[in-house]
Amino acid sequence: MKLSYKTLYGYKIDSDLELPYLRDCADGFSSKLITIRKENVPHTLENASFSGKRFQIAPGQIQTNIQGVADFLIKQNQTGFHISYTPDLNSNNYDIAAFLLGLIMAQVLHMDRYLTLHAGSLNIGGQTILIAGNSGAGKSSLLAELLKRGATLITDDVSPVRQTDQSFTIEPGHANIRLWADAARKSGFPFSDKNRIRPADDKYWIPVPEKFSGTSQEITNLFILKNKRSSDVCFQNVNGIKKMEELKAINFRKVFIRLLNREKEFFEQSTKFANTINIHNITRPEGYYANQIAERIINYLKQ
Amino acid sequence: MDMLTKETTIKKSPNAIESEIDGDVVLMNLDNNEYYSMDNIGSTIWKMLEEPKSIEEILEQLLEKYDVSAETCEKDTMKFLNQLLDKKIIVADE
Repeated sequence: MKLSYKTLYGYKIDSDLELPYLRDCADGFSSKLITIRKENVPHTLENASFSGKRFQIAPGQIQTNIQGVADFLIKQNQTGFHISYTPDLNSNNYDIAAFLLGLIMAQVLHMDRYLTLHAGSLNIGGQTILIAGNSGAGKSSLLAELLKRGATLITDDVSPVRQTDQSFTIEPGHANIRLWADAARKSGFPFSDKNRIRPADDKYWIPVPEKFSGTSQEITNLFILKNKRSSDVCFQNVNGIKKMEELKAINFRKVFIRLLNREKEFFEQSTKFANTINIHNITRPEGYYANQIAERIINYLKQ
Repeated sequence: MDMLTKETTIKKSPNAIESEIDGDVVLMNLDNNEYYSMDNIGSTIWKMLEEPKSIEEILEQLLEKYDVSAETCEKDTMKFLNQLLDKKIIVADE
């Protein structure tokens, strides 16, 4: 039997649950291994330093209970991570996969000491940029507009930032962008009902394989879409300690920084990162402005 | 000790970790995970505290460096240092 591995964020993934959106792992690709198995997850974690309703944390372990979906347990080991999951009654594999790739992978990234940002990332003209924004701010639509204008995708929604010498890069995700049905139709990228992420949501993984780039350049800019509305599209530079506040705000599942006692490390990582990038806040009027914002970003990066 | 005088020797709290962003000193207080930033003069004072110093010494060095009256310098510096003490970013040596 030939083992086939998938890859996500630079990890090699061996899963007994089908994760169809992930890319196949190239032969000989060596990195940390994540094994994912349907197994019995204990209700109580021994030696827990934190026990909440949804999470229990012990050294090198996080247990997560998602009612109606599954119980998950991550264990850090010599080669990487092992994830066990026990499905709840009436759960379905789409929901389990969605939680595995979202919340549970975010926990892995925090355990693995990444600066984990809630942002999509793209390569444009030899540099890498990050696009962040709360739900409803228009992040995915902007990603789609930038892809149409020649950018290539690195990650869709979560960006693990890695420091290499003095520069920062991103571990690549998979070749799909997540869009609500309405935004998906506007994007012009083809999709169908089989791309639906979870049965209950009108949200889709839109495949963009020809627009995907498996490698990151140096990160130069972070653009943050704000929910605040303005009378015109408006870009504003962020400086000094305000940069730290923005980086803290866009940390993905930031509760795990506290639960894993990573506050000091986060401060050190983000101050270094803040010094190497420009951060811009973007506000816009109500309505569809993703095309206009995409043009502004491209012109800015050309300068 | 809760009141600073010119004779007080002060030092950085071991619970404050520091870094710089765009040239300004930024601090994090490990007790409460709050962040603070300092302007130019604040950063200068902070950098003087590589070793414990009396406030008198700090004032002398500031007067050499900045064009300011001794009275204003003392008033502003004491106010600033009392804030740092209040936030437990510096400690007064007994």
